Amino acid sequence: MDADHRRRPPQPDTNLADLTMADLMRLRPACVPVLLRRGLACPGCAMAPFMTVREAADAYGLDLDAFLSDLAATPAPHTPTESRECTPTA
Amino acid sequence: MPPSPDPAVLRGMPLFAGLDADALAEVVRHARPRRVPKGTPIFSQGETAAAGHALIDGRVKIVQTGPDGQQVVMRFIGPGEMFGTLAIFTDGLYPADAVAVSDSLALSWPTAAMTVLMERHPAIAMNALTIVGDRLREVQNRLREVSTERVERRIAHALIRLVRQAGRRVEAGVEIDFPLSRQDVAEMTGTTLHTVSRTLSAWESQGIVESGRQQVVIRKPHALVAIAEDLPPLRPDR
Repeated sequence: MDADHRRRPPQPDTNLADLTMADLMRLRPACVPVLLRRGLACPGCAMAPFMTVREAADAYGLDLDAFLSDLAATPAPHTPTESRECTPTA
Repeated sequence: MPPSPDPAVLRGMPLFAGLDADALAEVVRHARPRRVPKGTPIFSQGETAAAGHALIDGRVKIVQTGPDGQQVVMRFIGPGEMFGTLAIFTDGLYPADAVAVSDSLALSWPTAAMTVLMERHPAIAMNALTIVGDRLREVQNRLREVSTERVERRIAHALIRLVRQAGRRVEAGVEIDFPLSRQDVAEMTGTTLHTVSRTLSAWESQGIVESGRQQVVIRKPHALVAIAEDLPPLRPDR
């Protein structure tokens, strides 16, 4: 999967914007350092299951596209249909 | 009395995590189901604890009354949680009242049966220890909050704790999904009804929360977290 992934520059991902913060952190743990670096208090927060990435960006006054680019640049190992060990590379 | 429940109702209950199907069937055979209409007491403070309990559906308030009549809400019990079990491990007396705050379905196990189940299935005893440990940690946090924090932060923490337990996403924000009065919040935070009303009114005028007589919706979750955690202010309109 990575070969294909690496060819494209990370694009702002509209799907990411609509994930809840809790799902984002669960599906893409590599995003957690990005959140901390940007000063978001989402990791461990009780509100994380209820707020989307878009809403968090709004609450913190972040530029959504720039924020999404940062998040999209992290690896996404926990996609439900793929396993980390044996992904056939096309 | 409702019919004997399906063992499936025990799945997902932390108290019975790790038990196989046979063990769950045995646990449920000893359980007595009970429907509890809203407002009905399940047990009373100081009573001999005849049973341990688990909530299948609904919401139960655990409230302790001091010698001066002052009440403190210890916690709200949600579906899947055990309650009234501390007495099994201590002096055999319920330390607080349990009252259904919405129509509820509870299971209870006579104390002797619960003790036998724990002996036969040590996982239940270990699970109970984990649950008691988690609750002790929560009580310690609340003690620290009551001892050191401004009342505004305590109220914010109480609401956030309830969101963690019973939050539900709604159009306007995050709703605490059971009947919650301002008096309840006062009794959870060691303050007065007057102070809770004043604080919630201020937050309402800032658009942070919206509260009806028995209902609280967090309209600006981040703003409430910022109050609870003393986060640096970002933008005044958020």
